[in-house]
Amino acid sequence: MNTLQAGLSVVRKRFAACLPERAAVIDSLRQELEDDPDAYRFPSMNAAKINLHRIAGTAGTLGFSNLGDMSRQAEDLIVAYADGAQINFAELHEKLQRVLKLIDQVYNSLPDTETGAA
Amino acid sequence: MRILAVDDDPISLDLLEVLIGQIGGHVLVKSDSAADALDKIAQRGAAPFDCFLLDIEMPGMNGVELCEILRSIAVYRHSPILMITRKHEKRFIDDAFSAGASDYLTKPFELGELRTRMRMVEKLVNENRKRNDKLFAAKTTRKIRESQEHYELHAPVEIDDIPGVVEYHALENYLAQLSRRSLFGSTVFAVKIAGVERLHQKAEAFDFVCMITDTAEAISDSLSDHQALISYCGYGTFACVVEDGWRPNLDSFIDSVHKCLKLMDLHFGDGEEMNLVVCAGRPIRLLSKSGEQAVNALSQAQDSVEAVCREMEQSPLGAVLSKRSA
Repeated sequence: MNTLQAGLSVVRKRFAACLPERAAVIDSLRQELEDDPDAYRFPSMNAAKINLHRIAGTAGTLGFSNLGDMSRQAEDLIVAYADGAQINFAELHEKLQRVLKLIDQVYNSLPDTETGAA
Repeated sequence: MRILAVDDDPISLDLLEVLIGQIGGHVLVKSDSAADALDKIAQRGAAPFDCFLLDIEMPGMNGVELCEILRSIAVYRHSPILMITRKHEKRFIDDAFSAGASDYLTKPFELGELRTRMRMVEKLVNENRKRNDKLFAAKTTRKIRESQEHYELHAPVEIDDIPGVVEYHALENYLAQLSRRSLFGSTVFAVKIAGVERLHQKAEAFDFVCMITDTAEAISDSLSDHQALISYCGYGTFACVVEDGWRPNLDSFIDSVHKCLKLMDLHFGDGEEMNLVVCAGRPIRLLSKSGEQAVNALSQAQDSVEAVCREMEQSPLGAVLSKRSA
């Protein structure tokens, strides 16, 4: 393994270690959308946005472009909502579900040495 | 280079550390907030930083606000500041350049792109060092040269604290990197002080710098209803990039610039009125131009205003101007 790959592997491990917590925040918004699509939910949207933004910013460089792209799409919808645009909550719910699924895939694809679960 | 990276995401900072380490030859210091960055900058005895990488979206003080503060610190007035942002966040990018950013990097990072940017930044750092050395030399010999000091007509003029006025290389970076989609509603045009060569010959260095700065302010005031970036290109010429699909009515714009200049009541050191006259060249709409074509449009805008000015100087009005500043 060259130095770049070795360095990225260490960062990937840290990224993976953060995923459960980030997934929990995103899932909380997804659950709220499912329970009551009309409820006021700006605080949980903001929390989800911060976590989606962070995932979108680094996932691509670490080799998880699908997760990065989907996180970006979900974040874009939340940003549009915060800017006053009408958004389709069902679409946001679906994107959040896909992000969570991709987080699961990424987490499970990493060897235990990279998720810290060993 | 000694680089300070500021980002609220620790993973992003770790990633930058690995990538910058791979490029080699740099020391990266990490900060997880603007407040922590300012503490690190203020640390006594620490070596100054050569370059800054600032994430735009941070809780508390964001990267744009931090950039503004850095620019107000004399030692970092010309230091390269690269803003870190997601693709297509044009509103943030515009604010960042207005606050004095030199360039920006998009997330997710790519090693090749980062390497290229670091090379450009190093070049800028070396140019700044040379400029600082020259300034130091100029200061030490100031007493001897004071009476003869003259500002080169082509030289850049340091213009601070005027909304929307940025350094020329920053304006080029801004245009070079925005996507075709982002540039679609933008227009580029240039403004030039008529008879600048004659004014330059007559003016002391201080008068000349004031004349350029005041003209920049008049242009900025006249574009205050629009999102605009303005840069001094040397030779009395300013390049302007205006967003939001504005189709400039140049006659009323130039009228407004003249009104602002009139209110400023500018004089040469000997008390004679300056009576500045400016002209504007053909506006060039960027539409779907690529970044490279947009940068070329900057040159075309300057060529166009040169031609307009030449024409004006050969007209009866030019004869009047020539007499005035003779």
